[in-house]
Amino acid sequence: MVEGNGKKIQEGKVDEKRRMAIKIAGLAALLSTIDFAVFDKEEFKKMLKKVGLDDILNVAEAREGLGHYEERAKKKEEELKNLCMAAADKICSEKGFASADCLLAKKKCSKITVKATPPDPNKRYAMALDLDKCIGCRRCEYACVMENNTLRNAGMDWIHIYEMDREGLSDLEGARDDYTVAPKKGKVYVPVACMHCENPPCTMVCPVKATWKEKDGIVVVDYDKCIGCKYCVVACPYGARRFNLFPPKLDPLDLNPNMHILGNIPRPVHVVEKCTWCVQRTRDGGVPACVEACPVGARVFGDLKDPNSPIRRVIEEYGVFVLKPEAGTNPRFFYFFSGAKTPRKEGGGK
Amino acid sequence: MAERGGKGTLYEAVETFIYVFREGLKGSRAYKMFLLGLGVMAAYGIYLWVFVQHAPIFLGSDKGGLYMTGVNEDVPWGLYISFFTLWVGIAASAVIFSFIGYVFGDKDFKKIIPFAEAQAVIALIITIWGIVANLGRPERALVRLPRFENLRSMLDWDFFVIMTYMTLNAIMYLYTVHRYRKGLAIPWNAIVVYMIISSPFAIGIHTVTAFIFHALTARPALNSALLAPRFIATAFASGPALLLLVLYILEKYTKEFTVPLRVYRITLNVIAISLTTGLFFTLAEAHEAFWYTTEPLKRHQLEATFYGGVINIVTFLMWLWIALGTAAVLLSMVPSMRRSKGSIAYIAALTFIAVFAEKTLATVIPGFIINPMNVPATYHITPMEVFVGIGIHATLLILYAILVKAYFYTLRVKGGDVV
Repeated sequence: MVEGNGKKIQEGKVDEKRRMAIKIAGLAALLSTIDFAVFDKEEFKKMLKKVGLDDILNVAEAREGLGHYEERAKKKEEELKNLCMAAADKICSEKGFASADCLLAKKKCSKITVKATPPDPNKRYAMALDLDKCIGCRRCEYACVMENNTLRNAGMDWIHIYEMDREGLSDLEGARDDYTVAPKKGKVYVPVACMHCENPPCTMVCPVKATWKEKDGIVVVDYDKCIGCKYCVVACPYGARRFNLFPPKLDPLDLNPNMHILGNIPRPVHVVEKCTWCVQRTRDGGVPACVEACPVGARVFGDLKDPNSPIRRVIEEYGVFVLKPEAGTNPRFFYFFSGAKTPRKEGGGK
Repeated sequence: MAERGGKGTLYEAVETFIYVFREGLKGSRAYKMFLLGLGVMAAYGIYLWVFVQHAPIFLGSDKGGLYMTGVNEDVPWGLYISFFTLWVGIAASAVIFSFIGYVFGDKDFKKIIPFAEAQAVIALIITIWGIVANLGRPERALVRLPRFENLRSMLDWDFFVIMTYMTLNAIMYLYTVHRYRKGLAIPWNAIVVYMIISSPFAIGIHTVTAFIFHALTARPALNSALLAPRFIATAFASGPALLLLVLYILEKYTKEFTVPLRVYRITLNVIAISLTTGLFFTLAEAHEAFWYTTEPLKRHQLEATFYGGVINIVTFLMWLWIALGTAAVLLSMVPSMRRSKGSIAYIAALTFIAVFAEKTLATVIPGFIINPMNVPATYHITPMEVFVGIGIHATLLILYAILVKAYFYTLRVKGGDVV
């Protein structure tokens, strides 16, 4: 019993009051939770727009359905077109509206398309590379940078080519990627990019599911979802993932206009990116840029489910192997030796 | 439970919260200058992080970016993540003190438990901040990490256990201060609940952190099931060592506070045993790599770590750990070193430096020192990382000072009778 304000208060009564207050508070919390759940989401978004949180929430709501991707692709296309047009206008005002430069820039801008082509579940892409043919010229690297709108100021490329001894191929002994003269006698050149593994460790470790394997076998990254923790970079046994350390500085007039929302759209800063087997080309029936650019025809790309595809022919005719089979990731990027070496002559390539 | 006729539990909780910060900020001129100095360092570090390193994210500018840190293509995790591994271990060690104090009922230890809890709280904030400073997109992580979208990723689990353990310790610290302030002892059932929940989480935070690293076949030097036990062993050495140092400093600069020598001795035993286990685990890993393994990448990575030539600071730290760790273990066995608090504090300092060397770069970098395609990597610690790191540590040191001071004041006023 306690004295309070000159009159006696029963102990039980005070407790009752408090219990009531806790009950009311609990009820209010429950109600507000339910309220939040049934809240009109559109209304909610409008409310949040004033504080400028909608971008973050859009990111969080990403990948709810396919329609969402198409929407985002359309938005992105408009954004890029506007950016490009602004750059084109600058050129036009400098050199005159009828000049060739102006017309070319405007034509380039009008060609920009951002697609959201879904995967075809009846296909399973794979690539093979003939190590006897590869001369280590890095032209695939160049084509890749041009095709995929990679940053030009960051020294980043999705394909790395390692020079190693023939006998070092099994344990990667003496591998180096900073060679300047190629091809050398007795060396083998091993281009490495994303292997699009059947059992990819990178997608397993992503804490926010920003990267996944699509139904046609291509492992993609959603650049608007990635939080940049770099866990996937750590998990990749082939060192194929790149982290975008620099703020993007890309001339909009230099962009490859054929873009895919999960592929080669210009990436924002601080996200992870990697080879997508040129998803913007392959989903339309083409081949990746590296395959097209290879001067010695060392790369083969095709659909594993199609019995007439070139990749099946390579597998049946030559037999293939993968890098680092002990990693257990089951890559879909194969290497093989066709026996027809480039350069063909002894001591050639000087 | 608040006293009857009081103003309500929530009100009193808020009051205690304010009390902690009010009493924590009071103090002598020297103390205030100390806080101010830390504040300047903290402000500079946070400025560098928000306005320079992460300027493209927070300000939308086209300058700045993570390229200013030492991380690169081959070494995606650098100094920030090594703070994460170090401090998560220091946090885990709070459980040692609460075990001796609450479960075994040691009165002297019971007095210092809130110091350990405060240490756990600040250690875990440094941990999270270390991850966030290394994150490319912290603003997205803020929204998406609490959703736990991919439960196969150990990072989600780590986020969960760290958050839970931090909240638990913060609540327990405030509750202890609250009770002692009122001159009341902590009720037995609160201790039981706290111990039952917090003990698994204390081991869990560090285990799950080790699981983040060790499940990666891509990084053979880290891909060892011994990583989690190794983490725990050195964690139980570094956390108590740091707490001993704090207690020693408190004792030296404030006259009213004494900790019996037996607390120092028991803690030293814990440190010595944990250090020995940690050194033994290092030996076991080195033996496996240099004696038997035929896995080329693992051999190369550990050779580069122990022999040097690639990223030399890692080699230096590795040998520093082995040398100082061994020295600390040997010194702790010398009887004359166990007789005075000063010499025990000296061993604790040696231990802390040893574990600092091992748990920071010498744990994280060996997995990256040779990249997965067998090419040596490069990593240079940049001033940016150092200053942001100092800023993070200074911020949390301020909080630690406040928490320690508030509890210390409570103890002094109540004379420790209620404990």
